Amino acid sequence: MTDKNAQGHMAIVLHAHLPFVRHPEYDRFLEEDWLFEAISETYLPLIQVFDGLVRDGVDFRITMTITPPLCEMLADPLLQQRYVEHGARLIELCEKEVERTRDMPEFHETAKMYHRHFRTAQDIFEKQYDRDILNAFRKFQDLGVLEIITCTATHGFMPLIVRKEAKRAQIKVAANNYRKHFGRSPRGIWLAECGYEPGDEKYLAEEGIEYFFLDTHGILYGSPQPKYGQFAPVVCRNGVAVFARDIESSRQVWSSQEGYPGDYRYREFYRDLGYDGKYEYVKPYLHPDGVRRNLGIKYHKITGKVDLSGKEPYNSSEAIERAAEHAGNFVFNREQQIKHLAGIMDRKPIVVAPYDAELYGHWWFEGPQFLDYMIRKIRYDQNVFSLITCSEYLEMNRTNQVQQPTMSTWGAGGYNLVWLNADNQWMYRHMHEAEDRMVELVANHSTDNGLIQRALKQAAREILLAQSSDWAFIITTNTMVPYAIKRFNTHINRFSRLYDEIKSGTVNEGWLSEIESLDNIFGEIDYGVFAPVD
Amino acid sequence: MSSEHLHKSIDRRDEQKVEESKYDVPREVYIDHGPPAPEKYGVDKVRLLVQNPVTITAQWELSGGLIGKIPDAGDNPQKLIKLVDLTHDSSRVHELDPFADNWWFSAEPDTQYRVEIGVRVNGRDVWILQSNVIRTPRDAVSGEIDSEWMMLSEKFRQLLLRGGFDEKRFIAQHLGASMGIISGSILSEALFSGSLVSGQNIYGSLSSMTFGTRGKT
Repeated sequence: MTDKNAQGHMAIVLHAHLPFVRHPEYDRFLEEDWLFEAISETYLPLIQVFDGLVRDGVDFRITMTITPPLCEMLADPLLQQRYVEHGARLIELCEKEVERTRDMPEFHETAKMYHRHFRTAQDIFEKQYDRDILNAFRKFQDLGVLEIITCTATHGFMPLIVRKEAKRAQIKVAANNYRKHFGRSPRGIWLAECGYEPGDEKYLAEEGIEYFFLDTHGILYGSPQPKYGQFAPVVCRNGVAVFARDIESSRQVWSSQEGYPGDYRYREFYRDLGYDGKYEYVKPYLHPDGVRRNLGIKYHKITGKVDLSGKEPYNSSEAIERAAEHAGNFVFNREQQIKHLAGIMDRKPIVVAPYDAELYGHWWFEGPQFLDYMIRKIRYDQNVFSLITCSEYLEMNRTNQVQQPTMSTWGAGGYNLVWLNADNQWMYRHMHEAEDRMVELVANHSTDNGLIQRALKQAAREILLAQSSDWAFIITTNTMVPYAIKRFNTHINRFSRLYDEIKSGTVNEGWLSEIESLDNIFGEIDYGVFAPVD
Repeated sequence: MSSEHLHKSIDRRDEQKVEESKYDVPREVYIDHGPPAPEKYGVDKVRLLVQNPVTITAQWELSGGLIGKIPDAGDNPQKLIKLVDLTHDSSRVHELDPFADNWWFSAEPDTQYRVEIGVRVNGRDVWILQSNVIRTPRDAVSGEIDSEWMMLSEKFRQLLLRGGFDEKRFIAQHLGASMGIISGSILSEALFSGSLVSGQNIYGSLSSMTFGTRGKT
């Protein structure tokens, strides 16, 4: 697919991530639905698209992060079982919906569409990939059409991790986890939220990671001036390459004002059967607390600037047609952009277009079809540019400008504001103390007995889970704040108790076993990754 | 001037909205906060963190007994914080509220800082704790040009414009860069909207921030 005669290239990067949410202590847990919705609405539809492209012999290239917590959840038998049960409940509701809407022509086709959608999802999940959809992503990687990259271990936000040992641990644990799930080392990494502090590249090089991504200003404001702006990678002094996000291609997809997902024909995210349906009718499909919530069955389109009650019925075929038109428009614009750039630059430009994977399907329901059309149009309807992975671009362009990128993120404001402000700054004192304590524990307990070693491993898991950037993000955006605070405090408290028990040699084995079963991420963990750095 | 002008047509809250949608929850559900994290760790430590090129924050804990070891300090001496600008070799001191455990500072881009915590004893300032050293990020195109990797000025301009860079900003910055005066502060003070460095907005909640609207066309 990487056409050497093309005038330039585009790298599509999908960042798939959810925090580690697994609660075996409850039969059903609200926040586990985050994973189930993402599986049904994004990961399985993407797999369907990739399978279709492979089946039709369409050569393509996509880069995708599957973060370590997401890998751990997708491979977890308990969550797999719960997803099957969740899917079965939705299929049952869809069957009722097909009956209920039989005399409602404006909704009936959509009801049938959801029935097909969730049945297909279940089939792919259970029968095609044996409940472990990492099998699918591994297959696409082995076929050479998908490059899976890793992320900081628990989506830890590098600019606000203070100790070198703790930064290194986020990278080493991620690389080890990638090896466990994918049987090889990661070539690239998506630093959580594109959060980068100069010097972080050191830890990437230690794991043999060849490249990472920054927002545009990460290299545009780097020093010296980047000759090619964001349209070619630079390399840090230690040889690790950096690719920066392109603004133009981002704007077309992300922007709610001028971006595609805001088109009036697309499905409205905020109007859902869980709120619209009669309470007694939907109650069996809510959680045991009976509180109304989104169920993922949505019958309305965006319509325009009207309130939720004014939304008109959704028409799937009209929306899919629009996705094809938008794909054509996107490809046309990239052709123009790359032709223009090729005229300015003395090497082939690369346009890097990263997106949250969950934008496609979960937020923008028609997003997977848009990707499907886009990839096919790039392959067959033009010859100005081709899709590429960053590894391939680096293999084709071995000499790159050396530069020191600047601290940056892709969050609001471009720096650390979202993860450090008046609402969430209280968290950092605890995280930084835990960093000091974890390094101290590892320095002082290298040859202890099995119980202490187990406690050290669990302490490593707890500090890593506390470092998930998701908690500070949720607090800032005021979504599920109590859960985020509770999770953060829980991990800090578990870590603090482990610290005290390890130091005093009084590890309570019963309690340790309990939290090992609750926070069972990274079974392979090596607490030595927190060893003191000279 | 921050990186917002790079993103003149992207309201980053679009990305945020998508990311938020992953954490979808019922509107009326109740979840308790659980037990709080430890109030104190029994340590004397101060750390300095970057929020953005023009705002930094220090956080500290003074429960390790350090103050008690200072002769004549008494039970509750006036606490002080000193911001040391290592790049320009200057410093400024603030008196602290007795119960304060953090402080927000206006800063300059591309500048190294450290803070120190101290107490005033008999009219003399005694500095007892030092933080880590941080460097604020540059918020403009670098003035450093690599002779082996340079592009004609007009072509570089076209490249940046094609990348979504705001032309007015570009001209100001690029002139500054080519004249070798782009330290960030000179141009940023002239072009910065000002709202982010005044009052509560420095560290207010996200809803009160000005970055999103400044970034929109």
